[in-house]
Amino acid sequence: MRKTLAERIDVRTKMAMLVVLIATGAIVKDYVLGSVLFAVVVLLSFAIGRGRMAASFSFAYLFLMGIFWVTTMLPPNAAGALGSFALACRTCMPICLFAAVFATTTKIGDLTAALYGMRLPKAVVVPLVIAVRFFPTLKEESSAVADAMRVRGLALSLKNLVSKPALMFESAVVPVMLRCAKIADELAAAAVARGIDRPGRKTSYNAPRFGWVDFLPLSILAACCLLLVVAKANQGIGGLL
Amino acid sequence: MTKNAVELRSVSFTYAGFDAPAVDNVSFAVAPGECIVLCGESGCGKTTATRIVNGLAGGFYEGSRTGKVLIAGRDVDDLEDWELSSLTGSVFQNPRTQFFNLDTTGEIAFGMENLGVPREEMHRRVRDVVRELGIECLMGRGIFELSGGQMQSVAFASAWACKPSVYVLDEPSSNLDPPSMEKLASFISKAKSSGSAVIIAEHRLSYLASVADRYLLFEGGSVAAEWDAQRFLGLSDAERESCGLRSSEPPKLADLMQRLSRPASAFPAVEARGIYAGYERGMPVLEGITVAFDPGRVVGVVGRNGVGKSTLLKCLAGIKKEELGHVRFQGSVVPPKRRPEHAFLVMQDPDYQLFRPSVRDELASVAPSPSDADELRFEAVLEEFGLGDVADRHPASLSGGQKQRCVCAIASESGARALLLDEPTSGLDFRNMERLALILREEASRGKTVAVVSHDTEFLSKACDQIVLIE
Repeated sequence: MRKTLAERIDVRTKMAMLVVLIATGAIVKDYVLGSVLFAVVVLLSFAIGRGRMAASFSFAYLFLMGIFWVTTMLPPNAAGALGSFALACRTCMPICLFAAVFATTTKIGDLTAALYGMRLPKAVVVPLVIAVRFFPTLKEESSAVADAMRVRGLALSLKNLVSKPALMFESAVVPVMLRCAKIADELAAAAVARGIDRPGRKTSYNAPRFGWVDFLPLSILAACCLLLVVAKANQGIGGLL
Repeated sequence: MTKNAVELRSVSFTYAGFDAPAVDNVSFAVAPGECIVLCGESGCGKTTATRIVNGLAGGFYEGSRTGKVLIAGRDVDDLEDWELSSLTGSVFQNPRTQFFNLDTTGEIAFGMENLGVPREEMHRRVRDVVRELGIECLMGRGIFELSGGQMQSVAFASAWACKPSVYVLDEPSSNLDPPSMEKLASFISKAKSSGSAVIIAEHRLSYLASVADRYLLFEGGSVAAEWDAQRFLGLSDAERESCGLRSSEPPKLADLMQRLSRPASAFPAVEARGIYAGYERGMPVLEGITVAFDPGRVVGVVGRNGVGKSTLLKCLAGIKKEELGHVRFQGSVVPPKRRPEHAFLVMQDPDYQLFRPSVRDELASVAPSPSDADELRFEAVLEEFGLGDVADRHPASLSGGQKQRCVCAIASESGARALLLDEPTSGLDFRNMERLALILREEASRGKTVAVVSHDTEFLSKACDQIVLIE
């Protein structure tokens, strides 16, 4: 079976890349440089084989930029609220994209091994791993609930949202919550029955490795981020760019 | 005398927050290489009995236990919870929620990783397991792309890899088609010949006929009867049904085949013509399917796993758009958006479809404008669906069978003339299954069209007038 590059990159490399991105994202927030950062992550995602995901995030990004553009024509009060919301979303986009790539290309077993390898205690590792495990489940559950709503004539439409908002809200939120509680319970029971509580050293099926597939994306990303941060600093001082 | 693999001596267990014990003074022993089946109606205590063996009762599920439990000759009171996990291998009812990993190989290795098995040894054992169980084609895949049967194979392999002395299976066949059940039975047989004991809590008994050595009937938390395999298979239908148990052998297929040949009329109530539908571009699940359903009939839709039966129901219910073809109700073409007015889909898991604070509110939510006359009618409907005494309870607090009847009641009240059900009997005991069959017959007798996707031949033979095979 052919693996994408993203699946071959070591978990710790991806974690390091995520940390670099979060740090850069916190510094580089303005229009131009923020968009450059996003573009870097999009290109990177394309390069490591998550093109479709990168494309859908790009559309979302353009949409947010559209909202931003609309706010420039609104009265200041409305523009402030909507604009800052759009800004918050926009600055999160590079990080969200990479986090999604991370979550969909990382094996739970490898992630567990990497976290234990970093000498993190079980109380930190297990909830973190379960959170990652939960993402696709949440997606499946939400789509099943959306199906159920359509069966009851509560399809997600403007008409239904206006005419019966309470019922719509109830039919979406209650089943998702109850299902998630049940799944979390069953998942935990199965994990306990299979010895997740056992103290002492655990082993891992895959050996963690660090190779050129790790070095290249990490160094490219780090270099780009460094450039952006430098540009941002110069912009602050000398008004460059 | 050989040591028993499992021994329970006068064991009772009460869940925290409950007064009555879920398991009450139960004693039984299982020898290595023996397979026992715990049977009985929902809520009889058989699942709790399995949890006592794998240590979840009293550990993960809080509560108090009395009596003595010995696993592989060791008193569990002297063992830590996690030590039990190395002696027992568990397979649960719902394959979607027992997987900790999202890839199959990682899942098979998960138990060994927890036990700290060295990497080379782990790789060797995974290779062995895959060869011994014949599941080469399932390796290195994402769990969400597997069928229910394939998932249970992986779950069993994961237990197998740790070489437990006892296998504990809690309703493992709930989501399986007949070939997958046979496969599960063959795994159980292999586990027995490797010298492990097997304990299964189960409603569907027919697939176990070749591997079970003894049957224990649970009633109200206690063991009410015990049969060896020969005596159990010799029970008459009446004796078995009076215990609330499902058929011990597969039903006569000839009887179902006869219903296969029954043709649909020239004026069906629901019709799917030339449907192409799928989930990924270029990979249709349904390729040009044409089926018709008559009013006043219960029609069973059968076919092997992955052939698109559920997708067909989704298209009929309008929650999935077909790429080609169309759906007609009473002869006229109806676009997907308007199909929910005509057809109501009862999903496999009723949890998704219930969200009001009480069963009565659920019914009221489908009535266009609830009036006093409706209130009276609701009472009658609640009685009819066996929900009279739980009318004011929160749906989430109901049993699986009750939840399902609640969704059927909503469907009945919704005004849709077609009722579609997807695998409605998974996890249902004999009485709930029989009751559902009656309800469907009743709905059909009122002129509604009922289509049921199911692998459950026993249920199909009770409920259906006609069988449609999808290939």
